[in-house]
Amino acid sequence: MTPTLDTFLAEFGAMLDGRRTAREVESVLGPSPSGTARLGLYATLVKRQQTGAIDEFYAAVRVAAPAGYYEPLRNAYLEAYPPSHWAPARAAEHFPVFLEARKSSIELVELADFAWTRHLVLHAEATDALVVRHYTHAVKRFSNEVERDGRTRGRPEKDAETWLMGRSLLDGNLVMVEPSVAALVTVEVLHSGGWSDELPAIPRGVLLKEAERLIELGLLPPTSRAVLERLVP
Amino acid sequence: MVRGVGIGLRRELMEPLLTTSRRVDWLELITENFAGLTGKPAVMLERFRSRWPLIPHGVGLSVGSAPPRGYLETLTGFIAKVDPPWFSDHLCFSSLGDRTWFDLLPLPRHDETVARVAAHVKTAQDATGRPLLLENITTYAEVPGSEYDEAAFLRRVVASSGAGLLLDLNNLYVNAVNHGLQPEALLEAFPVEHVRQLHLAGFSKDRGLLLDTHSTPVAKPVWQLYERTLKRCGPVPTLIEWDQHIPSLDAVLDEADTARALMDRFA
Repeated sequence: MTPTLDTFLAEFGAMLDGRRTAREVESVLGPSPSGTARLGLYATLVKRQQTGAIDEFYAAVRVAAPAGYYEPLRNAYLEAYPPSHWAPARAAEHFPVFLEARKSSIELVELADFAWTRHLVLHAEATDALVVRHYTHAVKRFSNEVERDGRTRGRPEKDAETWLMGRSLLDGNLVMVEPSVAALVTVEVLHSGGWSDELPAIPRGVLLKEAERLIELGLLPPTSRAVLERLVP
Repeated sequence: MVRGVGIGLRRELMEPLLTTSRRVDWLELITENFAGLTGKPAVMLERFRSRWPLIPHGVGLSVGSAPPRGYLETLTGFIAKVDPPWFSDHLCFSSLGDRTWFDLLPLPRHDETVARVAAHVKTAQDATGRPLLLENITTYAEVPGSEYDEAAFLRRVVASSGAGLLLDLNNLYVNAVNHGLQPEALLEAFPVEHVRQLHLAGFSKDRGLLLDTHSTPVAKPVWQLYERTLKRCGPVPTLIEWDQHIPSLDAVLDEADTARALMDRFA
Protein backbone atom coordinates (compact mmCIF):
# COMPACT_ATOMS: atom_id res chain seq x y z
CA MET A 1 0.00 0.00 0.00
CA THR A 2 1.34 3.45 -0.94
CA PRO A 3 2.23 5.53 2.12
CA THR A 4 0.25 8.75 2.48
CA LEU A 5 1.89 12.02 1.53
CA ASP A 6 1.98 13.10 5.17
CA THR A 7 3.75 9.89 6.15
CA PHE A 8 6.26 10.44 3.38
CA LEU A 9 6.92 14.03 4.45
CA ALA A 10 7.34 13.08 8.12
CA GLU A 11 9.72 10.22 7.37
CA PHE A 12 11.74 12.11 4.79
CA GLY A 13 11.96 15.11 7.11
CA ALA A 14 13.22 12.88 9.92
CA MET A 15 15.96 11.63 7.60
CA LEU A 16 16.95 15.17 6.67
CA ASP A 17 17.25 16.03 10.35
CA GLY A 18 19.35 12.97 11.08
CA ARG A 19 16.67 11.31 13.22
CA ARG A 20 16.29 8.39 10.78
CA THR A 21 18.65 6.67 8.40
CA ALA A 22 17.70 6.18 4.78
CA ARG A 23 17.31 2.46 5.51
CA GLU A 24 14.88 3.18 8.37
CA VAL A 25 12.90 5.48 6.08
CA GLU A 26 12.74 2.76 3.44
CA SER A 27 11.43 0.30 6.03
CA VAL A 28 8.38 2.56 6.41
CA LEU A 29 7.95 3.97 2.91
CA GLY A 30 9.27 1.11 0.83
CA PRO A 31 12.50 0.90 -1.14
CA SER A 32 13.75 3.72 -3.32
CA PRO A 33 14.14 2.51 -6.93
CA SER A 34 17.44 4.45 -6.95
CA GLY A 35 18.85 2.62 -3.93
CA THR A 36 19.34 3.47 -0.27
CA ALA A 37 22.55 5.45 -0.73
CA ARG A 38 21.01 7.78 -3.29
CA LEU A 39 18.02 8.37 -1.04
CA GLY A 40 20.34 9.16 1.86
CA LEU A 41 22.23 11.67 -0.29
CA TYR A 42 19.48 14.19 0.43
CA ALA A 43 20.47 14.34 4.09
CA THR A 44 24.04 15.11 3.02
CA LEU A 45 22.95 17.80 0.57
CA VAL A 46 20.67 19.50 3.10
CA LYS A 47 23.39 19.48 5.74
CA ARG A 48 25.85 20.92 3.23
CA GLN A 49 23.40 23.67 2.40
CA GLN A 50 22.74 24.59 6.02
CA THR A 51 26.33 24.48 7.21
CA GLY A 52 27.40 26.44 4.15
CA ALA A 53 24.95 29.21 4.96
CA ILE A 54 26.22 29.54 8.54
CA ASP A 55 29.84 29.34 7.40
CA GLU A 56 29.29 32.15 4.92
CA PHE A 57 27.44 34.34 7.39
CA TYR A 58 30.05 33.85 10.11
CA ALA A 59 33.14 33.53 7.91
CA ALA A 60 35.24 35.62 10.31
CA VAL A 61 34.31 33.42 13.29
CA ARG A 62 35.30 30.37 11.31
CA VAL A 63 38.70 31.84 10.45
CA ALA A 64 39.42 33.08 13.98
CA ALA A 65 38.40 29.88 15.78
CA PRO A 66 41.14 27.54 16.98
CA ALA A 67 41.72 24.44 14.82
CA GLY A 68 39.00 21.85 15.32
CA TYR A 69 36.76 24.19 17.30
CA TYR A 70 34.42 25.73 14.75
CA GLU A 71 32.81 22.82 12.90
CA PRO A 72 31.56 20.89 15.98
CA LEU A 73 30.32 24.19 17.38
CA ARG A 74 28.42 25.08 14.20
CA ASN A 75 26.95 21.56 14.00
CA ALA A 76 25.83 21.76 17.63
CA TYR A 77 24.28 25.15 16.88
CA LEU A 78 22.26 23.76 13.98
CA GLU A 79 21.07 20.92 16.21
CA ALA A 80 20.09 23.33 18.97
CA TYR A 81 18.53 25.85 16.58
CA PRO A 82 17.36 23.99 13.48
CA PRO A 83 16.23 26.46 10.79
CA SER A 84 12.56 27.20 11.26
CA HIS A 85 11.96 30.37 9.27
CA TRP A 86 11.74 30.61 5.51
CA ALA A 87 14.08 33.62 5.35
CA PRO A 88 17.56 32.08 5.11
CA ALA A 89 19.34 34.70 7.24
CA ARG A 90 17.11 33.89 10.21
CA ALA A 91 18.96 30.59 10.56
CA ALA A 92 21.96 32.62 11.75
CA GLU A 93 20.05 34.65 14.32
CA HIS A 94 20.91 32.82 17.54
CA PHE A 95 24.57 32.05 16.83
CA PRO A 96 26.06 34.94 18.88
CA VAL A 97 23.96 33.99 21.93
CA PHE A 98 24.84 30.33 21.40
CA LEU A 99 28.55 31.12 21.37
CA GLU A 100 28.22 33.13 24.55
CA ALA A 101 26.30 30.35 26.27
CA ARG A 102 28.98 27.87 25.23
CA LYS A 103 31.57 30.18 26.79
CA SER A 104 33.42 30.70 23.53
CA SER A 105 36.26 33.22 23.63
CA ILE A 106 35.30 36.87 23.71
CA GLU A 107 36.69 37.62 20.25
CA LEU A 108 34.55 34.88 18.68
CA VAL A 109 31.45 36.15 20.46
CA GLU A 110 32.24 39.70 19.33
CA LEU A 111 32.85 38.63 15.71
CA ALA A 112 29.51 36.80 15.69
CA ASP A 113 27.74 39.73 17.29
CA PHE A 114 29.27 42.09 14.73
CA ALA A 115 28.10 39.94 11.80
CA TRP A 116 24.55 39.64 13.10
CA THR A 117 24.28 43.29 14.17
CA ARG A 118 25.50 44.41 10.75
CA HIS A 119 22.80 42.26 9.16
CA LEU A 120 20.13 43.70 11.45
CA VAL A 121 21.18 47.26 10.71
CA LEU A 122 21.17 46.70 6.95
CA HIS A 123 17.71 45.14 7.10
CA ALA A 124 16.11 47.51 9.56
CA GLU A 125 13.87 50.43 8.73
CA ALA A 126 16.20 53.41 8.40
CA THR A 127 14.81 55.35 11.32
CA ASP A 128 15.36 52.42 13.69
CA ALA A 129 18.72 51.48 12.35
CA LEU A 130 21.20 53.26 14.62
CA VAL A 131 23.04 50.88 16.91
CA VAL A 132 25.96 51.45 19.27
CA ARG A 133 28.30 48.52 19.91
CA HIS A 134 31.40 48.31 22.06
CA TYR A 135 33.95 45.59 21.32
CA THR A 136 37.22 44.69 23.01
CA HIS A 137 38.76 43.43 19.74
CA ALA A 138 39.19 44.90 16.26
CA VAL A 139 36.27 42.92 14.84
CA LYS A 140 35.45 45.28 11.97
CA ARG A 141 38.95 45.27 10.54
CA PHE A 142 39.28 41.51 10.93
CA SER A 143 35.87 40.80 9.38
CA ASN A 144 36.69 43.02 6.40
CA GLU A 145 40.00 41.25 5.91
CA VAL A 146 38.26 37.87 5.87
CA GLU A 147 35.28 38.83 3.74
CA ARG A 148 36.86 41.24 1.27
CA ASP A 149 40.53 40.27 1.19
CA GLY A 150 40.22 36.53 1.69
CA ARG A 151 42.19 36.36 4.94
CA THR A 152 42.17 32.73 6.11
CA ARG A 153 44.24 32.79 9.33
CA GLY A 154 44.74 34.68 12.54
CA ARG A 155 42.53 36.36 15.09
CA PRO A 156 41.34 39.91 15.67
CA GLU A 157 43.75 42.05 17.65
CA LYS A 158 42.85 43.24 21.11
CA ASP A 159 41.75 46.81 20.54
CA ALA A 160 38.82 48.38 22.35
CA GLU A 161 36.50 50.15 19.95
CA THR A 162 33.00 51.61 19.95
CA TRP A 163 30.94 51.81 16.77
CA LEU A 164 27.88 53.77 15.83
CA MET A 165 26.32 51.71 13.05
CA GLY A 166 23.49 52.64 10.74
CA ARG A 167 22.06 52.21 7.28
CA SER A 168 22.77 55.25 5.16
CA LEU A 169 19.73 57.28 4.27
CA LEU A 170 21.64 58.38 1.17
CA ASP A 171 22.50 55.07 -0.49
CA GLY A 172 21.31 52.26 1.81
CA ASN A 173 24.85 51.09 2.59
CA LEU A 174 26.23 50.31 6.03
CA VAL A 175 27.85 53.30 7.73
CA MET A 176 30.10 52.83 10.76
CA VAL A 177 31.75 55.62 12.68
CA GLU A 178 33.70 55.72 15.92
CA PRO A 179 31.44 58.18 17.68
CA SER A 180 32.57 61.03 19.89
CA VAL A 181 30.76 61.58 23.18
CA ALA A 182 29.00 64.50 21.50
CA ALA A 183 27.77 62.21 18.71
CA LEU A 184 26.41 59.71 21.23
CA VAL A 185 24.66 62.50 23.14
CA THR A 186 23.20 63.85 19.89
CA VAL A 187 21.79 60.44 18.97
CA GLU A 188 20.46 59.89 22.50
CA VAL A 189 18.67 63.26 22.60
CA LEU A 190 17.09 62.67 19.19
CA HIS A 191 16.18 59.10 20.07
CA SER A 192 14.60 59.90 23.45
CA GLY A 193 13.02 63.09 22.19
CA GLY A 194 14.28 65.27 25.04
CA TRP A 195 17.21 66.59 27.01
CA SER A 196 18.20 64.96 30.30
CA ASP A 197 20.39 66.55 32.94
CA GLU A 198 22.09 63.18 33.36
CA LEU A 199 23.70 63.61 29.94
CA PRO A 200 27.25 65.02 29.78
CA ALA A 201 27.32 68.80 29.55
CA ILE A 202 28.33 69.53 25.98
CA PRO A 203 27.97 72.96 24.36
CA ARG A 204 24.89 73.27 22.16
CA GLY A 205 26.99 74.33 19.16
CA VAL A 206 29.09 71.16 19.38
CA LEU A 207 25.99 68.99 19.40
CA LEU A 208 24.54 70.81 16.40
CA LYS A 209 27.82 70.34 14.52
CA GLU A 210 27.72 66.61 15.32
CA ALA A 211 24.16 66.46 14.02
CA GLU A 212 25.33 68.07 10.77
CA ARG A 213 28.16 65.53 10.45
CA LEU A 214 25.81 62.58 11.03
CA ILE A 215 23.34 64.02 8.50
CA GLU A 216 26.16 64.28 5.95
CA LEU A 217 27.03 60.63 6.57
CA GLY A 218 23.42 59.65 5.98
CA LEU A 219 22.96 58.40 9.54
CA LEU A 220 20.37 61.05 10.45
CA PRO A 221 17.58 62.57 8.37
CA PRO A 222 18.13 66.18 7.23
CA THR A 223 15.48 67.45 9.65
CA SER A 224 17.47 66.24 12.66
CA ARG A 225 19.39 69.50 13.11
CA ALA A 226 16.20 71.52 13.44
CA VAL A 227 14.75 68.93 15.83
CA LEU A 228 17.91 69.01 17.93
CA GLU A 229 17.80 72.81 18.08
CA ARG A 230 14.41 72.56 19.74
CA LEU A 231 15.43 69.80 22.16
CA VAL A 232 18.77 71.10 23.45
CA PRO A 233 18.56 73.90 26.00
CA MET B 1 5.86 43.04 -20.57
CA VAL B 2 8.44 40.33 -19.95
CA ARG B 3 10.08 38.96 -23.07
CA GLY B 4 13.53 38.08 -24.25
CA VAL B 5 16.34 36.93 -21.98
CA GLY B 6 16.75 37.84 -18.34
CA ILE B 7 19.38 37.09 -15.74
CA GLY B 8 19.18 36.25 -12.05
CA LEU B 9 19.62 39.23 -9.75
CA ARG B 10 22.41 38.17 -7.41
CA ARG B 11 24.38 40.21 -4.89
CA GLU B 12 27.61 39.92 -6.89
CA LEU B 13 25.95 41.31 -10.02
CA MET B 14 24.04 44.20 -8.47
CA GLU B 15 26.59 46.98 -8.73
CA PRO B 16 27.79 46.06 -12.25
CA LEU B 17 24.18 45.79 -13.41
CA LEU B 18 23.49 49.37 -12.42
CA THR B 19 26.30 50.65 -14.63
CA THR B 20 26.25 48.27 -17.60
CA SER B 21 25.29 49.52 -21.03
CA ARG B 22 24.66 45.99 -22.30
CA ARG B 23 21.20 44.66 -22.98
CA VAL B 24 19.33 43.04 -20.10
CA ASP B 25 15.66 42.34 -20.87
CA TRP B 26 14.43 41.51 -17.38
CA LEU B 27 15.58 40.26 -13.99
CA GLU B 28 14.52 37.37 -11.84
CA LEU B 29 15.01 37.74 -8.10
CA ILE B 30 14.88 35.21 -5.32
CA THR B 31 11.67 36.03 -3.47
CA GLU B 32 13.05 35.18 -0.02
CA ASN B 33 15.96 37.62 -0.45
CA PHE B 34 13.58 40.57 -0.72
CA ALA B 35 10.05 39.73 0.41
CA GLY B 36 9.05 41.38 3.65
CA LEU B 37 12.47 42.91 4.12
CA THR B 38 13.08 46.56 4.77
CA GLY B 39 16.35 48.44 4.66
CA LYS B 40 18.97 47.71 2.03
CA PRO B 41 17.01 44.98 0.17
CA ALA B 42 14.06 47.36 -0.21
CA VAL B 43 16.34 50.15 -1.46
CA MET B 44 17.99 47.84 -4.00
CA LEU B 45 14.63 46.45 -5.09
CA GLU B 46 13.39 49.94 -5.96
CA ARG B 47 16.53 50.70 -7.94
CA PHE B 48 16.14 47.63 -10.10
CA ARG B 49 12.37 47.86 -10.36
CA SER B 50 12.65 51.31 -11.86
CA ARG B 51 14.82 49.96 -14.70
CA TRP B 52 13.76 46.41 -15.46
CA PRO B 53 10.73 44.13 -15.22
CA LEU B 54 11.21 41.87 -12.18
CA ILE B 55 9.97 38.31 -11.77
CA PRO B 56 9.93 36.86 -8.23
CA HIS B 57 11.19 33.29 -8.10
CA GLY B 58 10.70 31.60 -4.74
CA VAL B 59 12.15 28.60 -3.00
CA GLY B 60 9.91 28.65 0.07
CA LEU B 61 6.29 28.14 -0.99
CA SER B 62 6.59 24.38 -0.40
CA VAL B 63 3.53 23.44 -2.45
CA GLY B 64 4.02 19.76 -1.69
CA SER B 65 3.59 20.17 2.07
CA ALA B 66 2.21 23.61 2.94
CA PRO B 67 3.54 27.18 2.87
CA PRO B 68 5.39 28.01 6.10
CA ARG B 69 3.62 30.15 8.67
CA GLY B 70 3.38 33.75 7.50
CA TYR B 71 4.89 33.01 4.11
CA LEU B 72 1.80 33.47 2.00
CA GLU B 73 0.93 36.80 3.61
CA THR B 74 4.46 38.10 3.04
CA LEU B 75 4.47 36.79 -0.52
CA THR B 76 1.14 38.45 -1.27
CA GLY B 77 2.38 41.84 -0.06
CA PHE B 78 5.56 41.44 -2.04
CA ILE B 79 3.79 40.50 -5.27
CA ALA B 80 1.55 43.54 -4.89
CA LYS B 81 4.64 45.73 -4.49
CA VAL B 82 6.63 44.29 -7.42
CA ASP B 83 3.58 43.90 -9.66
CA PRO B 84 4.99 41.14 -11.90
CA PRO B 85 2.97 39.47 -14.67
CA TRP B 86 3.63 36.11 -12.94
CA PHE B 87 5.73 34.62 -10.17
CA SER B 88 7.28 31.22 -9.76
CA ASP B 89 8.36 28.56 -7.30
CA HIS B 90 9.24 24.87 -7.44
CA LEU B 91 7.31 21.61 -7.62
CA CYS B 92 8.72 20.28 -4.37
CA PHE B 93 8.59 20.64 -0.63
CA SER B 94 11.08 22.69 1.35
CA SER B 95 9.53 22.89 4.79
CA LEU B 96 7.23 20.95 7.07
CA GLY B 97 5.56 22.53 10.07
CA ASP B 98 8.17 24.60 11.86
CA ARG B 99 11.13 23.03 10.06
CA THR B 100 12.65 24.41 6.90
CA TRP B 101 15.55 22.93 4.96
CA PHE B 102 16.32 25.60 2.34
CA ASP B 103 16.40 22.91 -0.30
CA LEU B 104 14.15 21.73 -3.10
CA LEU B 105 13.05 18.32 -1.96
CA PRO B 106 11.36 15.62 -4.04
CA LEU B 107 7.76 14.51 -3.69
CA PRO B 108 6.23 11.09 -4.26
CA ARG B 109 4.48 11.27 -7.61
CA HIS B 110 0.94 10.12 -7.01
CA ASP B 111 -2.58 11.53 -7.05
CA GLU B 112 -2.63 12.64 -3.43
CA THR B 113 0.42 14.84 -4.12
CA VAL B 114 -1.17 16.21 -7.28
CA ALA B 115 -4.26 17.20 -5.28
CA ARG B 116 -2.17 18.75 -2.47
CA VAL B 117 -0.09 20.78 -4.91
CA ALA B 118 -3.18 21.90 -6.81
CA ALA B 119 -4.79 23.15 -3.61
CA HIS B 120 -1.72 25.19 -2.63
CA VAL B 121 -1.33 26.60 -6.13
CA LYS B 122 -4.93 27.75 -6.06
CA THR B 123 -4.46 29.38 -2.65
CA ALA B 124 -1.32 31.19 -3.81
CA GLN B 125 -2.85 32.36 -7.09
CA ASP B 126 -6.03 33.51 -5.36
CA ALA B 127 -4.07 35.38 -2.70
CA THR B 128 -1.69 37.13 -5.06
CA GLY B 129 -3.98 37.54 -8.05
CA ARG B 130 -1.12 36.46 -10.31
CA PRO B 131 -0.36 33.28 -12.26
CA LEU B 132 2.08 30.95 -10.54
CA LEU B 133 4.59 28.97 -12.57
CA LEU B 134 6.02 25.77 -11.10
CA GLU B 135 9.56 24.70 -11.95
CA ASN B 136 10.60 21.09 -12.48
CA ILE B 137 13.30 20.28 -9.92
CA THR B 138 16.32 18.02 -10.05
CA THR B 139 16.02 14.73 -8.23
CA TYR B 140 18.92 12.59 -7.12
CA ALA B 141 16.83 9.59 -6.11
CA GLU B 142 13.44 8.23 -7.05
CA VAL B 143 11.56 8.46 -3.79
CA PRO B 144 9.44 5.54 -2.57
CA GLY B 145 5.76 5.53 -3.37
CA SER B 146 5.73 7.17 -6.81
CA GLU B 147 3.13 5.98 -9.28
CA TYR B 148 4.00 8.32 -12.16
CA ASP B 149 7.18 9.22 -13.97
CA GLU B 150 8.28 12.85 -13.92
CA ALA B 151 6.61 13.87 -17.19
CA ALA B 152 3.28 12.25 -16.34
CA PHE B 153 3.35 13.82 -12.88
CA LEU B 154 4.06 17.28 -14.32
CA ARG B 155 1.27 16.85 -16.81
CA ARG B 156 -1.20 16.00 -14.04
CA VAL B 157 -0.01 18.82 -11.81
CA VAL B 158 -0.35 21.56 -14.43
CA ALA B 159 -3.71 20.17 -15.57
CA SER B 160 -5.13 19.98 -12.04
CA SER B 161 -3.64 23.15 -10.60
CA GLY B 162 -3.80 25.59 -13.46
CA ALA B 163 -0.16 26.53 -12.82
CA GLY B 164 2.06 27.26 -15.78
CA LEU B 165 5.35 25.47 -16.25
CA LEU B 166 8.72 27.06 -15.67
CA LEU B 167 10.80 24.56 -17.57
CA ASP B 168 14.36 24.35 -16.29
CA LEU B 169 16.26 22.66 -19.08
CA ASN B 170 19.34 22.12 -16.95
CA ASN B 171 17.21 20.28 -14.39
CA LEU B 172 15.67 18.19 -17.12
CA TYR B 173 19.12 17.28 -18.44
CA VAL B 174 20.52 16.55 -14.96
CA ASN B 175 17.58 14.28 -14.18
CA ALA B 176 17.88 12.47 -17.48
CA VAL B 177 21.56 11.73 -16.91
CA ASN B 178 21.18 10.83 -13.23
CA HIS B 179 18.27 8.49 -13.86
CA GLY B 180 19.55 6.95 -17.09
CA LEU B 181 17.01 8.55 -19.45
CA GLN B 182 17.31 10.20 -22.85
CA PRO B 183 17.04 13.99 -22.40
CA GLU B 184 15.36 14.48 -25.78
CA ALA B 185 12.76 11.81 -25.02
CA LEU B 186 12.12 13.34 -21.62
CA LEU B 187 11.59 16.74 -23.22
CA GLU B 188 9.16 15.24 -25.71
CA ALA B 189 7.13 13.76 -22.86
CA PHE B 190 6.98 17.00 -20.84
CA PRO B 191 3.82 19.15 -21.10
CA VAL B 192 5.66 21.85 -23.05
CA GLU B 193 2.39 23.42 -24.18
CA HIS B 194 2.19 24.81 -20.62
CA VAL B 195 5.69 26.35 -20.67
CA ARG B 196 5.67 30.08 -19.85
CA GLN B 197 9.30 30.58 -18.93
CA LEU B 198 12.60 28.75 -19.32
CA HIS B 199 15.67 28.43 -17.13
CA LEU B 200 19.17 27.76 -18.42
CA ALA B 201 21.97 27.00 -15.99
CA GLY B 202 25.04 24.87 -15.43
CA PHE B 203 25.68 21.80 -13.29
CA SER B 204 28.61 20.27 -11.47
CA LYS B 205 29.66 16.64 -11.01
CA ASP B 206 30.03 14.89 -7.68
CA ARG B 207 30.30 11.17 -6.90
CA GLY B 208 29.12 10.14 -10.35
CA LEU B 209 26.06 12.39 -10.24
CA LEU B 210 25.28 15.68 -11.88
CA LEU B 211 24.31 18.30 -9.28
CA ASP B 212 22.15 21.31 -10.01
CA THR B 213 24.58 23.86 -8.62
CA HIS B 214 24.25 26.73 -11.11
CA SER B 215 27.99 27.08 -10.79
CA THR B 216 29.16 26.56 -14.36
CA PRO B 217 28.25 27.83 -17.84
CA VAL B 218 25.26 26.34 -19.64
CA ALA B 219 26.42 23.00 -21.05
CA LYS B 220 26.30 22.17 -24.76
CA PRO B 221 23.59 19.48 -24.44
CA VAL B 222 21.42 21.97 -22.53
CA TRP B 223 21.82 24.51 -25.34
CA GLN B 224 20.69 21.79 -27.74
CA LEU B 225 17.61 21.15 -25.59
CA TYR B 226 16.99 24.89 -25.63
CA GLU B 227 16.93 24.94 -29.42
CA ARG B 228 14.50 22.03 -29.47
CA THR B 229 12.26 23.78 -26.96
CA LEU B 230 12.27 27.04 -28.89
CA LYS B 231 11.29 25.14 -32.02
CA ARG B 232 8.25 23.77 -30.20
CA CYS B 233 7.30 26.70 -27.97
CA GLY B 234 8.55 29.78 -29.81
CA PRO B 235 10.43 32.61 -28.07
CA VAL B 236 9.55 31.89 -24.43
CA PRO B 237 11.11 34.30 -21.87
CA THR B 238 14.38 32.71 -20.81
CA LEU B 239 16.58 33.17 -17.78
CA ILE B 240 20.32 32.62 -17.41
CA GLU B 241 20.72 31.40 -13.84
CA TRP B 242 23.90 31.47 -11.74
CA ASP B 243 24.10 30.91 -7.99
CA GLN B 244 27.65 29.81 -7.17
CA HIS B 245 31.08 30.80 -8.51
CA ILE B 246 29.26 33.64 -10.21
CA PRO B 247 31.41 35.03 -13.05
CA SER B 248 31.60 38.64 -14.23
CA LEU B 249 28.42 40.31 -15.41
CA ASP B 250 29.87 40.33 -18.93
CA ALA B 251 30.26 36.55 -18.88
CA VAL B 252 26.66 36.15 -17.72
CA LEU B 253 25.46 38.57 -20.39
CA ASP B 254 27.47 36.71 -23.04
CA GLU B 255 25.33 33.65 -22.25
CA ALA B 256 22.22 35.82 -22.37
CA ASP B 257 23.29 37.07 -25.83
CA THR B 258 23.75 33.48 -27.00
CA ALA B 259 20.25 32.61 -25.79
CA ARG B 260 18.81 35.72 -27.42
CA ALA B 261 20.44 34.90 -30.77
CA LEU B 262 18.89 31.42 -30.66
CA MET B 263 15.56 32.86 -29.60
CA ASP B 264 15.57 35.31 -32.51
CA ARG B 265 15.87 32.40 -34.93
CA PHE B 266 12.57 31.03 -33.67
CA ALA B 267 10.67 34.29 -33.19
